[in-house]
Amino acid sequence: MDCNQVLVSKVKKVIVVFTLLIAFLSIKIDTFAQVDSAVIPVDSVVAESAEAVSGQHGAVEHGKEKFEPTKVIMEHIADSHMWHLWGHTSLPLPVILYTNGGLEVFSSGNFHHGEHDYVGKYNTYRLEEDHIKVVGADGKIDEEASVLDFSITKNVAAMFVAILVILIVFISVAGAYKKRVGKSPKGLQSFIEPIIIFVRDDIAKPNIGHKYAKFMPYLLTTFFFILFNNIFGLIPIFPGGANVTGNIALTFVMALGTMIIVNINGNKYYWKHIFKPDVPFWLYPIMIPVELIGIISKPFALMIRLFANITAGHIIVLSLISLIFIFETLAIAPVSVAFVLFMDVLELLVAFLQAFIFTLLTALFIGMAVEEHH
Amino acid sequence: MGNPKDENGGKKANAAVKYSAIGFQMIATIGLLTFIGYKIDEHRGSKTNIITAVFALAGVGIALYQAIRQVTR
Repeated sequence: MDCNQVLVSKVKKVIVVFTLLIAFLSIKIDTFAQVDSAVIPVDSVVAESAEAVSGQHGAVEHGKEKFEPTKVIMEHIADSHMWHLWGHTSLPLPVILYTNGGLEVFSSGNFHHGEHDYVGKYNTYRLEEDHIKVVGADGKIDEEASVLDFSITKNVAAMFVAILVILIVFISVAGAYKKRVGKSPKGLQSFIEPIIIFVRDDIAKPNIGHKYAKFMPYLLTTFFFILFNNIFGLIPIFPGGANVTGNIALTFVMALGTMIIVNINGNKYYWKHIFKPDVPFWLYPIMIPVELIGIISKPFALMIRLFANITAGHIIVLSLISLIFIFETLAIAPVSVAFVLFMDVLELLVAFLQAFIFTLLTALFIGMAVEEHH
Repeated sequence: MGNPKDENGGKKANAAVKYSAIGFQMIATIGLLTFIGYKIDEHRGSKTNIITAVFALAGVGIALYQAIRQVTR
């Protein structure tokens, strides 16, 4: 059978494409149906968690607990008020709360891993699933009370560590350039220089054009910030282990930075394209919202991409480790460790790749905004 | 990486990133509009989530438009 014959005429091509599209849409409907039917188990989950809350102050069983991989994995990739070091040792982190009464600062060690309430200056606080809640006079959680949590959490602390390392690296490299004017780079300098040149020559110049110099500080900052945080996220022990770039709040702020820079530097061609596109005027009510959505959806895609890639990597590694505990045998460990090692090497590539892609797309969007004519 | 010799490879990688970005942007557009529609439906308390459906379909249209425009640029 000659398949080419089917696709000869363009009309038939369009028909084929639309058939595929409709087939795809019908699959979508099925997934929605599954979501609907999955509503009932959600209720039972709520009931279970309610039970867990009521039994929170009961004796905590340290014996044979059922291993729940989902819970463990989610705990590991989520933010936390303490930094787990090893075994039962955790590093307490400062809790900073803004309540109705005023500012309140104390150590998260006061919660004793959520087993105790902390009586503060203005309220009593309880740590529940790593969220700080106000406890009312009746000993129950007061959901109405407003608490703004500005705590130095695990992610924030990990970010500080990464920033510290970035500062040490780049201050020393900058010092080396001052000291060794006109000489070839040496040591750390010769490791960092090719990366900076790479960002300049392969990311900024081809995408932004001759105005690239103005945007280099932002591009280099995002590149190295994402790269260092990604790599720190891969280190399983203390100074790493946090899922900083896999946190949607952080990626949101980074994408917001890109959005602001792109729109501040947008020239008249960029804005003309949005508010006076080259279409008949009666299409404006459709085209202008479409272009406005384009402004938001581009950085939105950046946010989702970084978050999804890093979180997925962490989940895969943790799932592979969880296999040992699911099968409850050491025999599976060599397989797990081998796969984790492979994934970690792959994640090293992803760590670099995601930093590269974020920077490249930022440069691309800036390039589109500062382009002189279309 | 910063080698001028593999400039062609670098350009290919750039193109690959650009095209993969279009996919993510389509997801973002459809997701964003569906979310807006969902919120409107929630606010109205409507029985059939018609606004969600309409916004999702509009999202698909806008995503397709954006994709085509970026490819033909």
